[in-house]
Amino acid sequence: MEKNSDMIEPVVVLRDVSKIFRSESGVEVKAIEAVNMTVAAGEFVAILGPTGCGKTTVLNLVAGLDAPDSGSIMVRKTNGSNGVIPYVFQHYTLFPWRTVLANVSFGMQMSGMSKRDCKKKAFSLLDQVGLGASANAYPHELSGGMRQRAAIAQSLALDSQLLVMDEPFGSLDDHTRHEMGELLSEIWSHLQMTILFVTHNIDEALMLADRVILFKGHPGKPEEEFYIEIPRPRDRLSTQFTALHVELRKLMSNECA
Amino acid sequence: MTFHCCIMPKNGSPNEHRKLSESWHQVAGWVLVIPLLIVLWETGAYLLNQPWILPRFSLVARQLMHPFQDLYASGSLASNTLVSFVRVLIGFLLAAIFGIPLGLLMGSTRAVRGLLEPIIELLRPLCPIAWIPFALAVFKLQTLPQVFGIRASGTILDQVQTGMVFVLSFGAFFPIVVNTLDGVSGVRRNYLMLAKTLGASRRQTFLHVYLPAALPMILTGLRQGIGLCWFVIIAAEMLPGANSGIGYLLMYAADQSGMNVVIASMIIIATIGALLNTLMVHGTKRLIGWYGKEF
Repeated sequence: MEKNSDMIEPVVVLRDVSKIFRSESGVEVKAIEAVNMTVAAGEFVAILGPTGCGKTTVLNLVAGLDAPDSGSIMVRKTNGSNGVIPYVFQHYTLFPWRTVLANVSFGMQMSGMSKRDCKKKAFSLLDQVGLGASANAYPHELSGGMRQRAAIAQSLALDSQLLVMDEPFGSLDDHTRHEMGELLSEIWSHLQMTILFVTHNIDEALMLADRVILFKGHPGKPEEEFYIEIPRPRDRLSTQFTALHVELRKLMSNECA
Repeated sequence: MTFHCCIMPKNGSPNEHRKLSESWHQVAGWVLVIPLLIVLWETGAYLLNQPWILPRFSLVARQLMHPFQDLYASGSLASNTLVSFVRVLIGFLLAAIFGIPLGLLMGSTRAVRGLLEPIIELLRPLCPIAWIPFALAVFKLQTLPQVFGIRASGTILDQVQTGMVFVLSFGAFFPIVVNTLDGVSGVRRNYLMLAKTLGASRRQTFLHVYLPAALPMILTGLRQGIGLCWFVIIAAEMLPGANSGIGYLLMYAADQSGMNVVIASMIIIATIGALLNTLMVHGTKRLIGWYGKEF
């Protein structure tokens, strides 16, 4: 079941990328070492792994929030987004002093779009994520799920082909998490985006991704790769799904031991 | 084995009950404690019968009912209060005009912070009143219009001495600078990262992230600043070199054994201080309703 995704228009390419963090006391910690990874256009890739194996580091490097200590990172710039890569975090995804509408407009406002156009586009994006009625609410007035919906709308506003997400649904309850997963799948297939998604939740990775990259170790690196060829919409209770689930769980718990 | 788990709400939601008792607590101080103290004061003063030490409340109240009456040829309660208020306002505004930009600059530029923080931390603990002799030596009794060569005789500005404004500005400057600085340097890294991933430039980040994130602290600084000004002006007007203001009237009335005017002045000073604080707290609530409710 190997597919060579490197050949179809890669959007993200990491070659031998390493990143070292220095703590305040001067101790050096290698977060990731010699990471090679490719994400093809239109692909939904989940990076799965236990906490502290460098998953977030990879995302920060791809999004340009951090620079690698060695190796090279290529991210194909897409139209419209001015090279900015929208990033959905787990926490602090919205500015608390802005209304939902103003939050969704933030990126467009920064790029100099007119107020009217910002508003129009923000409203249509909010409708798309089912938040049209909460446009004038402040983030603290929303539930966790609604906040992440707004955060998705905020990042979609940049018209980027690539979206990176770091455990975006990590602090939601299971029911809301599943709902958000469905919403994200819909958006992804509708807009034909490329999504790089970090999670430590096996179920979430299997439900959403075309390909799951399992990260392991200290320093972290991709250990195994799974192409998930279960047709969508996926059924958590199908034998194919549960078999993969068990396999991934075994691999992940080996790591812990 | 079965567990019976049964939590039933009592009559009315618990929140409703709490709200009711909270509003009761809020008015209790006004309808119980203050009237009770007034009654005690009135009877105590009546029994003591020494109005130069403790005049009856009714006497003080009568004084407060005639705020425009000239007292000891030194102006009225109202005119002297207005003079103090204008002095405070000018001193405070100057402090804000210099303090906020400087705090923003220090909070966002490490070099500026490193240069200025020692001197600020050294001068900050100094009580503004201690500057008065120095200010008098430098500015004498010059008024603000005189310094700028503006003719303002007869207007209230003619009573605004440069030295007083200097002392007030100095007092309010520090809480404004330090709170603004703390507000800016305390901005969560997460919001800076978010702004970056949404394409904000440095200037835009300052305008749309640092500034709104620091606003609650800036407003706290302003509130502390104006409160301090109101403290300082009363003390400043009680010192030699002053010839008007509510602090001056208070001191002058004390020399004349006019304790009813002294206490009337005290009540006015306290009330205005409380009003200024309430105004700053409630007037800015809508601006920073998000504060403390982050997630």
